[in-house]
Amino acid sequence: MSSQSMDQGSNDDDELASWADDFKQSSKVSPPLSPDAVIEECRRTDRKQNLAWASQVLGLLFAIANFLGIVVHTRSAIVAALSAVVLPTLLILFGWFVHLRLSVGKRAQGTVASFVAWMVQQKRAELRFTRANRLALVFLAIVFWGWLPLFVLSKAEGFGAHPYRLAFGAAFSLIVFVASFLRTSTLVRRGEQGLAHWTKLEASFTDRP
Amino acid sequence: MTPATLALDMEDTASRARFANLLADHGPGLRRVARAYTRGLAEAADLEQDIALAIWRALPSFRGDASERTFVYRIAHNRGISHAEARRGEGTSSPLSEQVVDARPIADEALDTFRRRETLMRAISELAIGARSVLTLALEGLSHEEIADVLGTTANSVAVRLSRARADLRSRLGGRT
Repeated sequence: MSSQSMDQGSNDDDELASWADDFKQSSKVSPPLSPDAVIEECRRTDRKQNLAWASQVLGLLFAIANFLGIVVHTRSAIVAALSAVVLPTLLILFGWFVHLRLSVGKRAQGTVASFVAWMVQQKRAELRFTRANRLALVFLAIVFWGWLPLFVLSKAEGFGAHPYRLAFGAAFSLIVFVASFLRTSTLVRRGEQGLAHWTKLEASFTDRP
Repeated sequence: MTPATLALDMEDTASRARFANLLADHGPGLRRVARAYTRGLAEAADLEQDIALAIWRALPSFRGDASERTFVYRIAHNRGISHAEARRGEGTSSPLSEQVVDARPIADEALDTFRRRETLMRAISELAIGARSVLTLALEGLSHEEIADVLGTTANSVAVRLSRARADLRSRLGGRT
């Protein structure tokens, strides 16, 4: 080894040691964490999360039971057709909540590369789910606007007496569909950006030859 | 007290003692990881707390497959990366005034040292996440093998990444001094 490369190595070590010294000193400006306070905070957070998770899951199960009740009670063809889309979506959502609940903690202590790879999978699944939501929304909008004229014709007398009811209902439905579509499209766009960042990050943790 | 509740109580006491030891041994290191992934002291304190919570939650499943230090830094960096990605695109660094927690008059030399450290911390927090993780682990004094174990890569790859990260940090610091 030449003396020049040895000098260079020594300079590099000095530089790293100097940075390490400054880096380590920088943590001395704030007080240390108290283990008891952390454990207490953990219990508080767990209680909040459990409550939020339970309310989400119960809400979802309630929606599934309601929809099932409507299908059984009305025995209508259009409701049955709608349930073929809505019920599997709700069940998939339920499965997704359970999967998230069970898998997050396990990944926390894996290597950074495996954690990032797992996050990429999560972001990809979330994006697929949001896209499917948008598609379901479009499908529901088409079904609704196809069904509305038939409904109006069958109730022509009633709407003839109160035309403003029909106009209000149609305008309200249009606003709800458009707002939901725009919101879901924003979520899809954010999801795509998030996935792109995580994928880039994953590449930076992958060994390339 | 029944034998079952006594056993649970003893287990809880042992877990608490183990957690307290982990925080005593690695607390300052966790604080530095938190600072490396955030833009100000208040945000860093939140992340530090978040990391400590994650360690407490993961502690029951830690079976000693990796060293304690590897276990702690894996969790810290995973939480740090999640945090940094979630906050990506939000605002800029907090002003230096927020960083000064002790308002007593500081001698010129001490102020210079303080500023140099803050400049270093800020430059580190602006590195790409891959470079930041490898460099902060090296600055903590972990060997290439230990860093590889935290990141899930090889020691050779760590050496290459570290070299690039150092060059990047050097150029950032060069531009500020």
